[in-house]
Amino acid sequence: MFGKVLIANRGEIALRVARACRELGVAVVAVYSTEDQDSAVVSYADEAVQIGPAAAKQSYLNIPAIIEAARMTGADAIHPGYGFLSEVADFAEVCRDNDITFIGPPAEVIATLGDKTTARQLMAGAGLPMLPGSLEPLNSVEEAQQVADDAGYPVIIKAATGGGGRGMGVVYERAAFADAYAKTRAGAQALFGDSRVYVERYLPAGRHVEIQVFADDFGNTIHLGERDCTVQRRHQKLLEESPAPRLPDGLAERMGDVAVNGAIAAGYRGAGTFEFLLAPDGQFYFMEVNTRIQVEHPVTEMVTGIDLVAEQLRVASGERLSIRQQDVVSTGAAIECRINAEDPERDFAPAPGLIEEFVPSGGPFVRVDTHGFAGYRMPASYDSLLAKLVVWAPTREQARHRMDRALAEFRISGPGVHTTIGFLRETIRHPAFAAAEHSTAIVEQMLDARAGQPEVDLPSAVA
Amino acid sequence: MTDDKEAAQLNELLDHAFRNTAQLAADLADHPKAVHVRAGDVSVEVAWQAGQAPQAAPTAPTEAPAAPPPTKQEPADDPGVRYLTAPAVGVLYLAPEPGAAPFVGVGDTVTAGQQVAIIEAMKLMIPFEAEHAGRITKVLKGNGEAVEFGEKVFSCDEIDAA
Repeated sequence: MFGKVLIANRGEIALRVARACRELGVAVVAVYSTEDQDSAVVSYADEAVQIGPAAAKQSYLNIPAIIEAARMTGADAIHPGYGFLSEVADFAEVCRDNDITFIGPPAEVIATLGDKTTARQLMAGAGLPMLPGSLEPLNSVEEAQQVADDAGYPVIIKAATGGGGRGMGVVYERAAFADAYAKTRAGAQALFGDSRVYVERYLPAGRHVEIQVFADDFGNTIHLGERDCTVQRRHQKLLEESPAPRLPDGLAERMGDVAVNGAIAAGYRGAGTFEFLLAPDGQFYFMEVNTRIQVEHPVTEMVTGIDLVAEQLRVASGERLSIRQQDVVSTGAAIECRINAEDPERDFAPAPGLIEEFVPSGGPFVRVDTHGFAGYRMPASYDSLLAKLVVWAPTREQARHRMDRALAEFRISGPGVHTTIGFLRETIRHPAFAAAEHSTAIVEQMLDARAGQPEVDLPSAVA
Repeated sequence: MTDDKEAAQLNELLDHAFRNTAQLAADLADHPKAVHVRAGDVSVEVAWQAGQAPQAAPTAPTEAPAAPPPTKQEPADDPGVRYLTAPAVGVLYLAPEPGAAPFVGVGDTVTAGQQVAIIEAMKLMIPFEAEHAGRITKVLKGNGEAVEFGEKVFSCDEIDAA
C-alpha cells in the first residue's frame, strides 16, 4: 500500500478519498486553490498545498503545480477523483514519467476510451451491442446524412471527445440534419477543441443503466452490478439507484458479462463504468466508458458492501482485487440523491453562497457524503454539487420512503442559497418513479407539468 | 465551465471590485472582519467586528467535517509592510544560476515587474516578478526551498512608485 496519496480534486470527492486513505493508514495530501482555503478536505488532510488561484485552469487543472505539490510532499500516488484531470491521458502519463502512481487506468487506455469513436470501434469488436450509427468520425455532411438515414430518425450527433452531457444534438427529421450537424461540430470545437462528431440512433424513452467494473494487474476483471441513472436533466444525473428496477430476468447479468468482456478488450485496470442505454423493448446498447470513479459509486457500495475507493487504492498499489466475481452479492436497494446548490425555480441556475445552516440527515441506513458545514462559503467557481444523500433499505419501496424522510430532514440555508432538495422529493414521490416506469424524459415531463402550476409545499420533518 | 471570454470579463470585473474594496478598506479606520467580493452582478460585502463576534457554532454531526479550519491567512500585518508572493508551486531559486549573485537582497529597491527569483516547476523555469514596487526588508524563504502558490517570499516596505 502507498505511504502517502495526493488528492488532485476538491469538494465531496476529495473528502471521500481522504477518508478511504485514512482507514488504510495512508497519509493524505490535499491540494487547493485560493478559493478553497477553508474547505473541509484542507483541514482533514495531513498536509495541504495551495496550488493556484480560483480558476480551475490554473489550479485543479494545472498539471505542473500538482506534480510539484506531489514532489514537495513526497506523495507516492495521485488520486484524481472525478472531473478535472481524472480522464486526461496526458496527466496519467506525466505522473508515470515522474514516478508517481496515477490511481486509474494506464494513460493509453484513458486515451482510447476517452475518444468516443475509438471506444465504439473497440467495443463493437469486443461484441458489445451498438446502436445503429457510425463507427468512425464523419468526414462530410453528406456522409453523416447517409449514416443518419441508414440508422433511422431520431438520431443523436455527439462530439468524439465529448462528455458530461455536453456537445450533442438530437435530430428528429431528415430536413433538420445538416443544420444540427454544423451546430454540433461548431459546439464540439468550442467545448473540446475537436470538431469530430459521430452519429447514432437516438432513443427518446430509454433508460440509462451502467455497470461498475474493476480490474487488477493479475488478470482479474470483475463487475459489481448495475446502477440505474435514468433520472437526468439535460444529460446531468440527479438521482441514481441500484439495483436497476424492473429489469427483465437475467438482463443485468448479461450487461455485466459484456462489460467485463469490454474491459478485458481495453486492457482495463482499476475502477471503470460501462454506460448503456436500455430501450423499452429490453434491448441494451453500449454508450461509453468512464475511466474513473463515478459520482454515484456509493449506491454500489451500499448494496455490495465493497469500498470502491479503497479497492482503487489497493489495485493501484499493485495488490490483487480483494474480491472475486462470486463474492459480489447485491443485497437490498440503495438510492442516491445529488443535492446541488441550484435553484429549480430559476432553471436550476447555480445558487451558492454562505451556508449558515447545514444539518445533514441522519438515522439508520443513511449516508451523507459532503464537504459542506455550517459557516462554509460555497464558491461559485466550481461544480454545484454540495452533498450526496444515500440510503439503503431491504426493498426499493422502503428505500424510497427512507429517502423521502431523509430529504425532509436535510436543512441547508443561507442568503441566496438554494438547493435541489425539494425537487428531489417531488421526484422520489412521482408516480412514474415510484412505479419505476420512468424514462430519461421524466425531469422534463415534471418541469412541463409544473409550468404554470403553483409550487407544491411538502411537509418538512422539522416544523 | 464558463467560457474564456466570460471568464476574462468576470476577471476584469473582479479585479475592479477588488481594487475598489482595497481602497475602501484602506479608507476606513477599523480592519474589516470579512470582505466578500462577487463579480457576477458586482457586489462588495464588508463585515466589521461588532463587539464580540458571533461565533459560528458548527453543528457537527459525527459524519460531517468538523469546524471550519483556521484560515491560512495570517492576522493583519503592519500597515506599510507588503509581500511578494510566489506565482507558482515549485522550487524557489533566488539567483539566476548556481553561484551567481541573488536577483535581489535586503535593502534593494524593486520595481513592479522586476524579476526577483525563479520558480522551477516540472523543469520549467518560471520568472518570479514583483507584483508591486518596494524595498526588500526580509527574504522569508531559502534558496532551493519548495513554495506553494501565493506563499510569502519577500517582505518589503512600501515606497513611492518612482
